Amino acid sequence: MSLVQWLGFCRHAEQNFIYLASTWAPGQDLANPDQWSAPILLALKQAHQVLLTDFGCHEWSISGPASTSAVPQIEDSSPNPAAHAPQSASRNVVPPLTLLSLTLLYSTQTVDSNLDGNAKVPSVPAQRVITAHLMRLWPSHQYVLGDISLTRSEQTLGLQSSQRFKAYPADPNDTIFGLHFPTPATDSQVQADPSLKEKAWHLTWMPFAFLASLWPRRQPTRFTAD
Amino acid sequence: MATATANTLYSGLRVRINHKVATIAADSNKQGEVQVMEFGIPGYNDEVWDVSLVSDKIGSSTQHGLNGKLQLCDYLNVRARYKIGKFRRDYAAKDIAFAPAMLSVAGKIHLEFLRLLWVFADMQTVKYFNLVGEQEDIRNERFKRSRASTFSYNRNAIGLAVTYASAIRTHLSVHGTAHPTSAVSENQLLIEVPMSEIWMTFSATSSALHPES
Repeated sequence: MSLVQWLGFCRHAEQNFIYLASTWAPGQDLANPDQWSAPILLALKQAHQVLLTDFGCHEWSISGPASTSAVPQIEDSSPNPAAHAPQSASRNVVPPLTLLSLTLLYSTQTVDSNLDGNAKVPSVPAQRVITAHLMRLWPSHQYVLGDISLTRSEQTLGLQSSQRFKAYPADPNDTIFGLHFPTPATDSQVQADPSLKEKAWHLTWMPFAFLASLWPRRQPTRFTAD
Repeated sequence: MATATANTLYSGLRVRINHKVATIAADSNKQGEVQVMEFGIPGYNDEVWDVSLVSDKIGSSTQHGLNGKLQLCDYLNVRARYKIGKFRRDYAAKDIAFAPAMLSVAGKIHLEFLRLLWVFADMQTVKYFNLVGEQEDIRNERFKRSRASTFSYNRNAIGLAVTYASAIRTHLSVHGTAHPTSAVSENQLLIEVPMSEIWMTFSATSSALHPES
């Protein structure tokens, strides 16, 4: 929500990378969620409400105590983004960052610098914290598994798994290459010497093993270097 | 097919390729897709492969409930046994060994083809050690490591070829992708396959010869 509102604040920007409001939601006032009518924005509002009420999320709003400095403003209409390099946070200049995530990082730093010492600073939680939170909520959503068919996925995974064969078949008539592989020990021989069982040859095939050979730094040679 | 053929050539063997196999030929005049001359199997002069790219899904225009479902049986082995039953005896009468070279669209391989790749790796490594004058090292640990590396290379080449063949298979126009050598009057050529022809030849030939699989 804050992101959408922030995009609404940027609607006057003339730089292509920041002129997003009219592209994402033409005719919508992104800064005012109460007037949103586009279905995708209404869905966002609903999801936002569920996150706040059912999942206990807390929204970090850029319209809080540091909104005036956190919300980037356009200083002039020069088309050259390099001309808007931020000299300081107080100048409220849109950072010349083409990546939105980097732009948000910039605004986060700006908010941090303007909060007093007692305020809770928004930060990205550690992955273990996110996972623990999700797992606490998971029991109430386990019914979803009943609606998902994993059979097809398991079968497809089986197709992509590795194959391992005995080089010498149980029936010598199954291959014409039997002479190239050592004959496995018989059961009586294995009983006499258990180490013979481990010496049976196996051939392995992995369907996607060739991906390793596509690594660009790999030398295109068929033989070992030694 | 061309990838496996290239591996054969690296092994120092002569190879005969049939890019176009007459399906209406008499049983006494069957032609394999790849024939390796003097392969070295006791009791046989040459060795013939039949290259097949088998779909992992059931294709049935009459049973809509089955169409598109994954095959759960040992379909590669079933297909290989069908090929062996169809060709092996006729080739054996000519002192030619027959082996199916089967892969599936998803990348699974039939064991006999994997054994064949290993045999090629063994031959290639022996040839390499002979070329560099290190015959005394053959079958020692260093030889085994080199053979394992070559085997890995062969498997990767086949894996990449079957992936490419499967990817373009659905868009393949048999008439529009005739192999360049088809312009030659002879369908049966004794050639050396350049590596540049590997991918297209493998896919085009497999699809053209086995449209039902």
